Amino acid sequence: MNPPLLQVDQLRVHFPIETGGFLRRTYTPLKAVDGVSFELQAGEALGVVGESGCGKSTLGRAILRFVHMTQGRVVWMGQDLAGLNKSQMKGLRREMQIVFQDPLSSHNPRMTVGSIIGEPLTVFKPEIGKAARETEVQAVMRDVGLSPEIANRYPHELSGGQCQRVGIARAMILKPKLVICDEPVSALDVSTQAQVINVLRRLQREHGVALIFISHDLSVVRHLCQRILVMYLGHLMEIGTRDQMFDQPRHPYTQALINAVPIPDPRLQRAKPRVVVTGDLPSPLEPPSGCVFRTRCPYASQVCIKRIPELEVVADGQKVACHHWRENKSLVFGTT
Amino acid sequence: MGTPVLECRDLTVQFKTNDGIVAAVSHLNLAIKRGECFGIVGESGSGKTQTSLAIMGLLAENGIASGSVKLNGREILNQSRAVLDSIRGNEMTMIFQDAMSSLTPFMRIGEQMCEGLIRHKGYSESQARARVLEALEMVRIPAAARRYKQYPHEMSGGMCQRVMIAQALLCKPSVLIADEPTTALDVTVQAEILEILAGLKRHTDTSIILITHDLGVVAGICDQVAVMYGGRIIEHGLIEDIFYKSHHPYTAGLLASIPTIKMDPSEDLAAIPGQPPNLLNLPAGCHFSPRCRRRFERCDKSLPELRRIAPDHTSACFLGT
Repeated sequence: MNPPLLQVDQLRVHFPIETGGFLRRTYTPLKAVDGVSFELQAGEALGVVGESGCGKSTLGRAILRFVHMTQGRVVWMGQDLAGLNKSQMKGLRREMQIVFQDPLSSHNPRMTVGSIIGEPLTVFKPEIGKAARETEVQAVMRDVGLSPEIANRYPHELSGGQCQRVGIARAMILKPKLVICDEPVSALDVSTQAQVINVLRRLQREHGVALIFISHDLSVVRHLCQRILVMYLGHLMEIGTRDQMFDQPRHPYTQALINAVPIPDPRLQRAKPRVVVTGDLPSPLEPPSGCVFRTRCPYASQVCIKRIPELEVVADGQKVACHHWRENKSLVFGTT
Repeated sequence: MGTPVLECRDLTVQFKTNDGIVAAVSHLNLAIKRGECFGIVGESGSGKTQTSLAIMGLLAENGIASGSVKLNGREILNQSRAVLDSIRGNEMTMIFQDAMSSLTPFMRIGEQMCEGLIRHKGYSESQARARVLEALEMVRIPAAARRYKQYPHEMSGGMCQRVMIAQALLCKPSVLIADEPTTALDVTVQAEILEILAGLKRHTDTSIILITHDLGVVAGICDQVAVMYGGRIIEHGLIEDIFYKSHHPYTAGLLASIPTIKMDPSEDLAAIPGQPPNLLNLPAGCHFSPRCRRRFERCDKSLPELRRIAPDHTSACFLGT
């Protein structure tokens, strides 16, 4: 096996939060990401799934060093990113790009579509000149399914789906090795969402770009990613290949996420067993002791309160952090 | 059968804009029976939200509604503010996509929930409080008494949406309009909210209008579904007609574009090509024809009307004529 494109090792991102009164100011760490490790091969698509507040966006941002990591290592093609200074990091940024969730507000409203997409070129390859830049902008626009005629328009004149394609085009124009997509389709209509997913699928296939696709919706991730990582309250709950995660999900949280996706078939949807996981994510400032998922888990027992579950290998490529995964073999949540 | 709880006849909503008059909703007919859940499905700009705002009398100032909307047999379209105030929040309520910003940020949850009961039903404060706590428990809010004293910003999005639902049901309305109630939420919370709405349908006789862009959301709870495109209903039928015997290519396209857990993940999703139409410049003929894979000559020339293709099932498409 080739050395991985990206290696994340025990990554922790803690934000200091001011608590206590004005006079007794203390700082409590908010553990947004707490010890997450995974590897990503070149050209691979990894889905990072979890509810809002689980730390999935922070994980993506920490890899790109948009937020400061508290502990751990991020190794890019054998090189530890922690040791790099600003200008060295800038050189690497052309190889790692990001697409944001909100299609409209992630673009400068005063720039035309063409200049938004071409901006990375002006920053990283100023030498190529205007004409060559325009040719490249047009080529990448066609690649993501945008008509080059709209290059002179402004973001507010576009639909949500078109805006998101602009974001993808901007990320792709430098031919990066990795694109982190932070909920890129969550704000879109179902019909437009399908178009954008198909564009991402094609880019991964044809350009061999690796994707980290962050989402709360497992059905979307399934259509795009070869491997899936499930996070909860900053912790990695389960990781495995797409087929392992859908055919044999071991963690009750993964099972709950699969169960929660509505089936567009009235008979099947109405026959489906009721959702067992209810309630909200606990406050990340006071995470539960032991297993962080235990407060919403239908199988929680004494051991879950006392001990933090280790990540155990279930099968080749699949790991789960649950004390009860052996007993929890059957799909109690019913995914069919 | 009896008379419908809510009936719209020839409902049209137009907006005066700088670029001319835009028809957001055109000649819409629908009838909802007691205790029924009616789904309105369409993409952004299809007119589904404007339909509900017109029913509620909440259109923007430049909006003009015409036609007729009857609630329990009584005309409510374009009525005076005083008449509408006695209906809204009482006989007919609405919940919105963004629950957090639909709640008043500087009032405690309990206080704002009691308002309607005191105003519409003449409850005393302590009566209202008891009823509100009961309602909060019904939508599965743990530690309701503590939540009663909190402000909206102290709660998560899913929690706010549950408060909105509880509040909307306090006066036992005939109709609850839910406009994309789960779109901003996580799938797990969405499943829970849909479960609460399904429970409502089983245990009360409030009729629900569920507005969404996701057919997957209506599958679990709706009895009837209307699919909107370009301001018109283009297909309408019982839930099984829409899902198993859909007639209009747009409905079929919407169904095919939902990624599901059973689909072969190695294949591309069947996306509907193109963009939703510009209401200022609707295509001639069938509004969907530029994106339709099955269009033929006639589609570019005339606009298909809704026609009956089976009992309780209508479609605005020339296919099969």
